[in-house]
Amino acid sequence: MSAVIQPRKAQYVVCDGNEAAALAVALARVDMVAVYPITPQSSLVEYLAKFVADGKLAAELVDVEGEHSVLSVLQGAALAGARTYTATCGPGLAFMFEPYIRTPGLRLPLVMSIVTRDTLSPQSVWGGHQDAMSVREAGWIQMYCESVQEVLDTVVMAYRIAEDHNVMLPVNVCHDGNYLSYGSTRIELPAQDAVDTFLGTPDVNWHAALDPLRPMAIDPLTGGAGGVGPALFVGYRKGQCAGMHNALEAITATHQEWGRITGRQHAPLIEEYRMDGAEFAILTLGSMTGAGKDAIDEARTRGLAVGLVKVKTYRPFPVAALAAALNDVKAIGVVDRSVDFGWNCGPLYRDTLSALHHVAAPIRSQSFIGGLAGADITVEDFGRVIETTSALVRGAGGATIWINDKDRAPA
Amino acid sequence: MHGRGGQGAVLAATILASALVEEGMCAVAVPSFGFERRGAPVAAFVRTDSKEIRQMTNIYRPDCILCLDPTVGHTVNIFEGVRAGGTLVQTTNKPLADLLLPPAIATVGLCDAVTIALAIFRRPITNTIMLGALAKTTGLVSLAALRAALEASEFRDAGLAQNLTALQRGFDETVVQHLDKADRAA
Amino acid sequence: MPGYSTIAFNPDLCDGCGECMTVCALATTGSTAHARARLQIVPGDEEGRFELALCRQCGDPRCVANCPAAALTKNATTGVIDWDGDKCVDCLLCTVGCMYGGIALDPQAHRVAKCDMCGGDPACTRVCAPGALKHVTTARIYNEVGDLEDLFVPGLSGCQGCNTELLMRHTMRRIGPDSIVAAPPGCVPGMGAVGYNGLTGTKVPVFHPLLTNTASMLPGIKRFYKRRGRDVTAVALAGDGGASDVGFQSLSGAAERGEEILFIVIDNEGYMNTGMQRSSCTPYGAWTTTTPVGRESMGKTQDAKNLPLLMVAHRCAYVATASTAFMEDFYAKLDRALQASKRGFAYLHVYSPCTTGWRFPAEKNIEIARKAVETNFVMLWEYAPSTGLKLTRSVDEPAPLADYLQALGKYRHLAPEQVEHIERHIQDDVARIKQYSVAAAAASARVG
Repeated sequence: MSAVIQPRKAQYVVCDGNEAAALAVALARVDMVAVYPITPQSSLVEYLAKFVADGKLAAELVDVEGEHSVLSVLQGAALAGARTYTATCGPGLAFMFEPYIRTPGLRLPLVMSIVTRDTLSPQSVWGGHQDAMSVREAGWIQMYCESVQEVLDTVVMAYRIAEDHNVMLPVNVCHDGNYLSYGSTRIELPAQDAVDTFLGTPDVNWHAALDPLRPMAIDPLTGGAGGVGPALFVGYRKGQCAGMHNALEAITATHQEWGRITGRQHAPLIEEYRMDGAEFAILTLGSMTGAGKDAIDEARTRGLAVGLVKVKTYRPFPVAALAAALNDVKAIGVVDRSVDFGWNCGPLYRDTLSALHHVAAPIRSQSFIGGLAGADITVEDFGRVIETTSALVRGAGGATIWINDKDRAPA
Repeated sequence: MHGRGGQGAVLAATILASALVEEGMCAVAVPSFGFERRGAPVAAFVRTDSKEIRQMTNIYRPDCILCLDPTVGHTVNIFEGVRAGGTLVQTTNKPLADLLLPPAIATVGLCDAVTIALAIFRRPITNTIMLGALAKTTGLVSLAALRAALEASEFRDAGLAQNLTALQRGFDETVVQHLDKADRAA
Repeated sequence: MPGYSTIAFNPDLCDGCGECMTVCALATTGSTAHARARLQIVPGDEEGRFELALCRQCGDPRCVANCPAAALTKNATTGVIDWDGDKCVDCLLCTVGCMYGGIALDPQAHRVAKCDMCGGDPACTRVCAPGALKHVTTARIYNEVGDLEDLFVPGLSGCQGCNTELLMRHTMRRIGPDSIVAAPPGCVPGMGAVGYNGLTGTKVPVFHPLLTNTASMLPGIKRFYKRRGRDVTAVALAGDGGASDVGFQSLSGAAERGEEILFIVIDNEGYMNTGMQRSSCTPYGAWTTTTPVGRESMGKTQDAKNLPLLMVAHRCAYVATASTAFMEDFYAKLDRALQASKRGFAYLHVYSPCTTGWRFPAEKNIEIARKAVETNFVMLWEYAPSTGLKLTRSVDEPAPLADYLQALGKYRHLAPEQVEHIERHIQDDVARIKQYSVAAAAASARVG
């Protein structure tokens, strides 16, 4: 669709998640975009290129020769003072890893969409969270979107969160390859004025700049036993942890403010759906959540006391919010779209178990893994997840259950 | 929606979703993608409802099948999961009697979209023609809403005019037939 | 105080032909009588060797001090000691003072006469066929950049005699403070240019890119400033490893896109900072810690990647090779590279001998650098899309390769067949570069 952003009025458009992300970038008046195409992100960068070509986005567009340079160009630009954006996934993210893991330490508030895709091998071009999950310890903030609208809203909000002076960390906005990247629906496009006021002028290199008017050295060697090095290094690391901690509050406040402006209240850290009186809960991440909610409604109709908790903010992990939400349930079923190798369960499952150390009573649990490599997780699949988890209330959980392992081609 | 890569099934799904939104409905279009090759079977799914749609999933029990290609049905079972009393909107130059239909199909709209497409575009791009056929067969969406959606899309100038013509001809030249139980049994 | 040009004499090259005296006499007196020339080539103590009597235009001249009439004065602008015939009382005290025989009685004029440098373009140096007399003008560099600020602090911890430190100080002094320096891991940050534990050795904005992304971080900076209407020079001071190996993708990408940056590669033929491992710029036969010499191996078994030629293939706005042994050439190329970086990708490849990694005494650095060029082991040339490739120093009549190889510990083990391989490789390189330069010259002649 050829949406035109209006200066003073919100409007409705029909678009997919990739176009929604690109529209958010235009709304955020990003200074520099560096891109390299990769399935299922490619149409997103095509939209950005088109927006720049059509004058809808007054950004410097750098078509570089690979994802490694994508992030490198943006690091340089941010150190010079630019608001920046890119998007990638899967093998592209893996190739980007060297500058990727460095970005949080430089405290650069870059925003990057991960149009999530399963990792190789087997060779695959389809959705799955394995790429984003593989970098969850790198120090970026990571938020997962449920809907196309949430993609647009979260990319805009990401700038305010990242550029918060108490945070100053890069943000990944994750939206599911296939189901959100290509799924189209009606969304509301906020007015440009509203976004301008919401985001303010970029102030991204107040702390670390490459500018002849403010000469300084960026990233001298730091460390080495027997001097001030280790203490300095620890100071920087603790600073990153403080930024992560402060992000919980910044994410919450930003979502509240966005809700005030647009009327759309997305849950900032976790969303609790029909958790009132829930005896057990299903945990979800990303675009699977819609089908999960429909399945919860059906189960409630059948008299099951089940609720759903969607984790939106995955890093920083919302430990307190999750512990509070799950305090009264007896069992949980956690549906992941990726694998935590070695533990051989889902990563959200493992993180949730860690958070549950803060809950008084022991909770029975079951890990489900589905939706790998573009597989669908349907309402019927969630029905089975709910049945299995319901049985846990009275019995022990077992080994990880693979949702799609018996999928067969139609006859 | 079933078609082949290059026919515009994915675009058709998005335009249909836009038209449904234009009508005041909620709609979600989810295409399924493989390696994007011309000629390979492609499917796209559209859900519509008067209330908000939360599921971002494929469709396994369709009410209506829109088939943009005369032969893709030989390769994939386009009738998989179709609900009883379902509708088929099919690109074909054959009469109804030559089609093998499962008993669940109650309504059929047939349109020789390839011939129309060759006349308008000189290429067998059937998507907008078949949106007209869908409108005629199902009444789910109006021709006016589809026109508005096309006008809001990336189509411009001559391309837009051709597609508006295609839409209209698809609507006008589709033959809709309701099968009674006896027909279906046969 | 400015520096001055001077006439240098290399007795090893002088064959005593006397042509210099002929043109000198002609230029100053109109006669060709050698006795009237203001420089004198005289037989030395050894058979076949010659010595020179010529005014050295001393900084603290005895002739001037001896002159009772103030007829001799040191000219502060030209550096020449001027003689004023109106004031001279012909006492000849000046000739007694000079230990170089630089001022003497002209037998015809019956007055003293001395070299006046022909007003800045000495005739003698132009006719000296063997090249024994040279007009040395490098002092102009000092005059041009001597007052510019050194943009690195004193006391960087480079190895003693480090060529890289010399090079980066010269480079940044010339480029000036409105610049941003990228120093990827290697000798440049290794000696403290980016800094340690909160302290830095550079007075302009400087940063550690990754070894891999120097050529992509810099364009991000440069493009943003350009968007904001600010003219900032983005400079990379990279090593050959980071440029030719793991950083080559971003380098190639930036060159293809014509990013407006100045990328300087300081080629010390390997990873010298981390303990002398081989890179793709390490030459054939060289010992490194990853191409060691043992019973089964004799150093590197592949030829060096010719990175500057690869950059020519990218049709960069400017590409040149340079050496610290030829500073005028280096400065001229640096200036052209800087200009080119305002409109496209500028690439400067500087050969930089490493005293630590190549195994030679620290004080021999410039000598080694010069030998590399004089033996054609490396060649000095420049390229611009409009002119093509042009040799900036003749490659005819090279010095014997052994002069270079034998000076370096890293080649100590070479077998005769390895030396032959290197010789063949050099011949190939010379032929190829000459071919490019001849083709370019022919093309420009056609256009002209």
